[in-house]
Amino acid sequence: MTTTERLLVFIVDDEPGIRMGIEAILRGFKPALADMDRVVNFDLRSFETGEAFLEALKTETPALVLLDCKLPGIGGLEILEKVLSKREDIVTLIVTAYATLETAVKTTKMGAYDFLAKPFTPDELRYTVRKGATHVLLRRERDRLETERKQIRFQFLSVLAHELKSPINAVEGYLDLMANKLLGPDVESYLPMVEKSIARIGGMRKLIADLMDLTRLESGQRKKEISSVNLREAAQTALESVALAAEKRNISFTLESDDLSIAADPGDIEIIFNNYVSNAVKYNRDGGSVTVRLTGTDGGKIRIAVTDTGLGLTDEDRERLFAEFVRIKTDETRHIPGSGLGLSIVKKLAQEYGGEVGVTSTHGEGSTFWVELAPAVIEKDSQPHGAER
Amino acid sequence: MAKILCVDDDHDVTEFCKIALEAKGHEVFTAADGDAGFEAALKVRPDVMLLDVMMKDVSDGFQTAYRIRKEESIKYTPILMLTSVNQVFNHKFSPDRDGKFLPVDDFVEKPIPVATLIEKVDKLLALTPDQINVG
Repeated sequence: MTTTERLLVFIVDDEPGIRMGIEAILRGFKPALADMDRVVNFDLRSFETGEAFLEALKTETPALVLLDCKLPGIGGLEILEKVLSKREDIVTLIVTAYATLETAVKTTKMGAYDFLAKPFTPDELRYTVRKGATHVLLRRERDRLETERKQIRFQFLSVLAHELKSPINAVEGYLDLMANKLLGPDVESYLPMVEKSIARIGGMRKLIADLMDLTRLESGQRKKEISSVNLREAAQTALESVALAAEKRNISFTLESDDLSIAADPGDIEIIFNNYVSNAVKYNRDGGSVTVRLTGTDGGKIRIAVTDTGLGLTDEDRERLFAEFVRIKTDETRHIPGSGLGLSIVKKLAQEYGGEVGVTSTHGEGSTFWVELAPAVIEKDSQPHGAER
Repeated sequence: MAKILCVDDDHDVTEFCKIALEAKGHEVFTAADGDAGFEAALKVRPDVMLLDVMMKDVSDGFQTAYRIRKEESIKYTPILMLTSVNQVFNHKFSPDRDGKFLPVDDFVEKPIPVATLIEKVDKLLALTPDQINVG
């Protein structure tokens, strides 16, 4: 949807003819900035002297200033140097009859955004003002995104602090119970507390490991070591790592795969398999099954699908599951340890490989988590495919 | 022996309270969120209720406290809120200040020292209905 932006423009020129001319041209000028879906309307205010302009600046903030270099009292260059160069929220366009390359360089260095030589045609004025307005709006958009980014970071850190503090509280509580010998002098009776403490510490270790994976991904710093990864072998390795936990709960594995390989960083593929397979075991029912299916897609991608026979998800859960720190907590799942970062990491990885993630699920029957990946493009001495950041 | 209901979504917190209070001879019931806690309170009629703040959402515990105070049969249940000091806003709850706005009887900050938990529960058990902060 196109929105209308009103920008306040101050015109500072001692020649009445110029002031009136500029106002007349800009009054009917409503440029549409198609890229941003914006139409700009200008509110115009003219000043005969630098002093009058500076007085108005105390109470109002224009988005754009059309500033004449040569003014009777305080000059345009002085205003630019002493006042406007310090105002990052105002875009200055210099208007001058003394258009030399030297003036242009000098004013630009002092912070002017652009330069308009007198005499100018209406089109030249419109062109310059349009450019200035675009700059204003882009800068506002950038500031808005920056604020949003800070808020997201704030939320992330708040939740992270909570997630790190909970296991410490739990362990501290158990230690306190032991120190107070609440269950009597027999050491054996405290073993369940020791086991629970170890489990919480393990969960914390996993959270820290996931956090490091996430940081590494987001930094975009690490160069991918691309090689041909045999997916069947990678899947088997991941299944073996959870075999013990699965055996305890009588969960069986099936691996359906052609002999598929993909050009990728083996570490990335390992993270994806580990997250999907360990979730499929953790959130399964006792005696259930986990099926890993590896297939090629028509578009030359590979598809990894991991199906469990667990609790399944509601539509609402499915929507938000791949976001950071989202864990579906119900009476059935709240004992299951997890960092809440695993799926968001898989999603970020998939994006790096030009792919996507998703889940299909029937509540109460089980879920299939899938990811599609395109082969990484191997480029020597440059960032690999997808890691452009 | 008294009946204590502990409501917290962190299994280790309910486990901790269970061990500590059972060792003192109390009967301990647990629930994992505000709704389950409210239902359990109706059924169990606890003598004291321990209630976490942040469960299903950031104020699940407070909302549950308000519900308890509106329900005639369990209205006068002494409530001890289990809080985490908010690192960001650094707000420490106190009965004198926050009790004016929240219908609860005391606060205890996590990690909860065993001795403090037992002491606070004993204090709440000694309250008479007219001393309960029903808001």
